[in-house]
Amino acid sequence: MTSLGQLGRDLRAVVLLTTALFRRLSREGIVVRSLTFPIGLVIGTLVLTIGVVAYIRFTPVVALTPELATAALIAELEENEFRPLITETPQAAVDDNEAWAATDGETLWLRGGGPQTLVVEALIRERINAPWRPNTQVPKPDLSAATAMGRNIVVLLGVLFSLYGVVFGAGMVARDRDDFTFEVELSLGVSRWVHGVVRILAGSSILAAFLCLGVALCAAILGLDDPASMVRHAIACATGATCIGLLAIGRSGIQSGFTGALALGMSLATGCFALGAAVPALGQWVPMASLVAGESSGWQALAGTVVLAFAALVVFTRRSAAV
Amino acid sequence: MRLRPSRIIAIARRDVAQTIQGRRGLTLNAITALLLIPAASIPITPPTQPFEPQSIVVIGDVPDEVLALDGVVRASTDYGHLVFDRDGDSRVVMGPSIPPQVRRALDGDSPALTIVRTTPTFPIPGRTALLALISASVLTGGISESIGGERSRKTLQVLLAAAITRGELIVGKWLAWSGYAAIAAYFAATIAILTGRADIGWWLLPLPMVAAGTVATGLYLVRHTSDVVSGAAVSLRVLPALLTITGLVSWYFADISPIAAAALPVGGALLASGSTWPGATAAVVSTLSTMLFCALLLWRTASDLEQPARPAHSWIQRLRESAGVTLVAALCWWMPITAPLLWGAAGNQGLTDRLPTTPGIVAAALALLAMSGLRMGRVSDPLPSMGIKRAPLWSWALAVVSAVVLVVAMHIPGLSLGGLPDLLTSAQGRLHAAVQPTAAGLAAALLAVTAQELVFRGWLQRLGGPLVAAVAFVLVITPLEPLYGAMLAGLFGGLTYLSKGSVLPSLAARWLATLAVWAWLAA
Repeated sequence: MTSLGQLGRDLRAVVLLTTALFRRLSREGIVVRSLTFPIGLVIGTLVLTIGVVAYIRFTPVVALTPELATAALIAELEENEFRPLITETPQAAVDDNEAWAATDGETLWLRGGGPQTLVVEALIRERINAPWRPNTQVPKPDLSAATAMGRNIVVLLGVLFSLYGVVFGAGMVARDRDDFTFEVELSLGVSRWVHGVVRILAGSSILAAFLCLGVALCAAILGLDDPASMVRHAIACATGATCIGLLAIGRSGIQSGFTGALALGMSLATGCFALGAAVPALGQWVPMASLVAGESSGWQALAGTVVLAFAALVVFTRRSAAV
Repeated sequence: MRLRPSRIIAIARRDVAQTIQGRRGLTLNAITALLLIPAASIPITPPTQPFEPQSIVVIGDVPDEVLALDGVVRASTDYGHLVFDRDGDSRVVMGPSIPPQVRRALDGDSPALTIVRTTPTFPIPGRTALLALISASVLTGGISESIGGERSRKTLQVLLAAAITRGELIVGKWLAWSGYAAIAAYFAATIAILTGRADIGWWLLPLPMVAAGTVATGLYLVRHTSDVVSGAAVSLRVLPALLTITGLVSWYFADISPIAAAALPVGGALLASGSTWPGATAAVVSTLSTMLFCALLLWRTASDLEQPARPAHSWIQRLRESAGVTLVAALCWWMPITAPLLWGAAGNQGLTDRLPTTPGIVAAALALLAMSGLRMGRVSDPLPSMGIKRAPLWSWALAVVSAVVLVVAMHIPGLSLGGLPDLLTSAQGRLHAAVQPTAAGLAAALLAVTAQELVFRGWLQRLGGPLVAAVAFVLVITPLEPLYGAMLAGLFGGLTYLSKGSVLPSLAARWLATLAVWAWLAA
């Protein structure tokens, strides 16, 4: 009965302390800004770039002499999103910035380059029966190209959030130790493992929430083949990184030994990514590594995260939370 | 506001001396010199030849003249830079670009069509703009420490209690770092002139103004920071963005009106310091506009410094907070739901058509929920602050009625704005589908309506009142269907009001309507 009562008290403490730590983290402006900044920067830049391309996209004017301007050519130009302009002096139209391209059938004047110049050249060459012409079909990226890019962005966010996770995991303990909050917590009548669980839950939940938001935004704007598996990888990544931070911190505080602990944690986190890239079959089971280990469901990474969390909890309880 | 030169200079000297004394100061000076001296003196040779690949891989019906060219190799796989084919008598070449030597080989002695490219001329800033940019970039540390450092050392209160005004304190700090950067920039400019890399000209006038504008902005940004770390976190994020964005905007306007471009504070000075425009006008305009910008920012910083906080419950404060929440909510809602339409507007309609809408709705809902979660974490009474509290019994009956009204309202035609451009019509469709997104699946729909109710009825209605919450709902959720949005906002805002501020009945009504429509669709 006594041990059951203790367990009940410990679980209640886990809930209350996790909520308190979560609220402490969300109150810190620097934490919130740090978490929103990478997502805002990556997604904002992407949307802004597409928006600017959409805004500056224009219908190019192609100036033609009346002799060249057959109904068929005009129809083909319009079909390819050009606006024909019939004039006796096509070169002057380009010089005066009235037209983007101009031709008299012998010379093609162009302002700028890009795939559109090949299209207009092809149409003019076809009209004058030239012996060769470029192909007018310029392929555009399809959904598979976009989803591949979406996955790359999720990996990029995952790497960033892993580094944050290590800093969170180590920093939460070091800062609390320096301002004696940790000592106060240790004096509570609850088991020592509670303090490790609380830090893993609070740190990983706030990180995972923002990383999952990043995954959802990538799925919305670029598409992802399997968003649910990416969410599992993201949760594993955030939790694994926090656990590594807790593993690495030992008995250090912010002012004593933090740099070494942080360097160890960062090395372990980047080592995980290297493992995923080098040995994908093993990397699928390791949090963080699973993001770069190719296609997998993410369940294996979550299983690996549970093992890592248990290891981190044991080390933290025996070393960091020892009196 | 009194500004006495002797006090200002004393503050400036103290600020610089504190930062650049000892080994740390040596490091700052060494880094500044290491960056500026090469930028001022190393010759820059523009590329004379366009980039061309070392070898061109070709496949298909390749003519002998092309195969005989140096660097042209026939592909051993299915991939090639250029694919040659025939269409009747004509040869068709497919590739992202056709190199000039291949064109010459295909044309032979008498080309059927001669290509003449006229490159548009853009004003390009010269190397002296780099000197202004570098001299402004090395100031992050100084700016970060300027106010935050004083505050963490507890010396700011001592300074404010001394016989100096707030204006003298801030202008002194601005002068310290603007002066440091100006000396560094003019030192580099002298090297550039002596080594023949630049000529004496009007660009010397706006040269120190880039750093001056950067310092003024930096001081404004760090005016409330508590220490160097938070000061650095702010200035490291914002100052590079300020220089880049104002520089790019000014460069964009340069083609339209050089004077308007030069008048843009900081960015105009940056371009003018690079001799982008000939003559004195742009240099003078950019200098004056940046000086005015500095004066306004310094006045604002001095006014804000260590002033007692304004009453938190004034209606202006509430309105301002509500506007901020509405703005962030709009970004969170619009970006994931409507951004896929931009692919089509940018020329790839196929991608827009193939991107599913459900992830956008889920992402938007998660973003609104993240806002609500952060709000709950920051206040002392998390649940009541979001309207999550007990509601009167009779309000649950009203919730059922509201759910019925919502289901009917979803099918009333003619509530959308008509005659919109194609892009806005598509956006209207997507935003409409996201209001009560039953078609996206039950989980996504419940998530979306919960997020909407928490932010608009739970948070904003409590913060700004029912009217502000209703306007925010229409602006964010149904900007292109204002009548439909106003009807929903009125219905659920009224329900929340009658429920004594509890969001639970309106949330229940939205859930009930969602479940009813979902069950009807499933059947």
